[in-house]
Amino acid sequence: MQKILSGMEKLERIIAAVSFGLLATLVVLDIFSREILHQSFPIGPKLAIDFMIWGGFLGASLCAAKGTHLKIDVGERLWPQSLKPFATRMETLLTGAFCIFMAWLSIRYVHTSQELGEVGVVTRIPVWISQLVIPYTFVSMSVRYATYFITPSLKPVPPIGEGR
Amino acid sequence: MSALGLVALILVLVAFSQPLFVIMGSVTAYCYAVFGDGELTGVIEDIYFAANKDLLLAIPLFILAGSLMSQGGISRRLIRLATALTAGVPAGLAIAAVFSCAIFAAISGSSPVTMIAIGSILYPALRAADYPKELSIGVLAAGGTLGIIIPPSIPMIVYAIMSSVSVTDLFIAGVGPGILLTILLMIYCLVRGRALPRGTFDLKEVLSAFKSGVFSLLMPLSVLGGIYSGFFTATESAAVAVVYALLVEFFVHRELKIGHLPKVLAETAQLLGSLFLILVLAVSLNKFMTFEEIPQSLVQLLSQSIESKITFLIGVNLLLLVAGCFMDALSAILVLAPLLVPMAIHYGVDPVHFGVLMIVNLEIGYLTPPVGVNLFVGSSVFKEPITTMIRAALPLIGVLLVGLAIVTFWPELSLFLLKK
Repeated sequence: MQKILSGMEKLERIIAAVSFGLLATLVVLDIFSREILHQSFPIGPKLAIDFMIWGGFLGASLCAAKGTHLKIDVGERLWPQSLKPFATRMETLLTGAFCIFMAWLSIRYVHTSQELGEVGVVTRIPVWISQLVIPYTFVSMSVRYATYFITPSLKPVPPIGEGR
Repeated sequence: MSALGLVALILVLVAFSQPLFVIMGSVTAYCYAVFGDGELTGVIEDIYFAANKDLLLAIPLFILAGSLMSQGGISRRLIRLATALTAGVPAGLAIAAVFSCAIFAAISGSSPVTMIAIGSILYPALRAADYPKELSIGVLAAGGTLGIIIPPSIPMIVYAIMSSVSVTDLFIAGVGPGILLTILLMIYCLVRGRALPRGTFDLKEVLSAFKSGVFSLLMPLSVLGGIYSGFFTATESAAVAVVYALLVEFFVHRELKIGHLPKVLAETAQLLGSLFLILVLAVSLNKFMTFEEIPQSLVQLLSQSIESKITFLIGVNLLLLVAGCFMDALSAILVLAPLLVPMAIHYGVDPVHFGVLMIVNLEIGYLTPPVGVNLFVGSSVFKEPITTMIRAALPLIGVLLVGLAIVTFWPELSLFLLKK
């Protein structure tokens, strides 16, 4: 399972990095086109937003892989030492359950969007392609948290200063 | 009963240390199910529409520009210049630390990153020059907090999104308070370190350090200058910052290689990822609350017990200082801004001034236990116990509170550049 999770992380890291590279390039091209060539490049910012959505959601998945999601960690101090393992297990279970719930909702949403055949106003690209990253992210995070629940030793410890 | 259920849900999620995106998402889903029409796919629809905002593009671009500039030796160059400039002044090295943090803040936009970049180089130098441990740590930890008030600042962009104010106005409004807090920290260094030995001012070294660091100094100037002159929007200035960072690091400093780019881009994705999901869920919840007129009801309820603008400002400062003890700045803005901004407007507080005030409050939260991020990061970077960090930070919290009082009751300090 660890190998599958590492493979997923590697793939997500590559796609997220490419998305951000393209995002930055498109925004710069848009400014160059407007200010230097005096021509509009409307598709640039719209595609850049799609890449940001992909990069942002995959980034959220990478945070689950590294344990760096922002937390209000007051709860951790409430539990006596003897109950901490139970609280940690429950923490993972609840996060996983939420991700499964959101995965189910987003699959339904993207499916409806695909059936309606919606396309981007400027890009003319079917919107479900851009939306697909939402169910992917929640499914990916569900798999991760389910694994952490079954094998707590695989749960990542966030570096100091992150994930709080 | 339904409201009690919501409170119980939040308490259970907090007790089990749930990530903020789970708390925010669960609250949103609960509101849609119980107070709304019950159609939960609406949550995903709102998330997608919240993510489809042009302004959001500025966040990854500023994070990317900061990461690119941080890869090279920019902190080393800035420190060299600051040290050369303050060599003849009492406590010159401590003042150089504050100055370096202020300039680096205008590049990185992050408090812990600023403290790590400057502190990891200057802390050993301060100790080697016999500066007291607590002064050295305190100044670096407090200097690091300038990262979120001196623009460009990610929390300011998030506030702008949550409260529908202009991010350009917020960036401009942050300049005055940022300079004020920098000056206050420098005065503290002068007073505390007046008996410390001073170095010798060397014009040759200043010129050489300036030559080495001039391109790093020009980055915040070009970004802020572009925004202030109205030439760039926030997103455009972020894109210009990325191009500038790439050109400087590749061709001038030559400290960044093509091979470093994938790592920088992936780090940017992860940094944005920690914020993105919460942000879009918070926007979705905000949309629901606005539709249901919840902030307006809250304003009506509170206006019966809070009579004046001053009482409101004092109350809101106390609330934000307490919130800053338990939440990081971004989380607090996402949760509290949609509720507090309508109240601020009701009491006649300018929403741009309120944004700056909110960020200065939460900036102090980086130094206050139990969740003072700079305390934990500093403890790790400076290899000092957390109790030493807290002791060192205490007088600096006092200095920042003086700054907060000035920012709160002197709105012109934030707004004077906007009234041109």
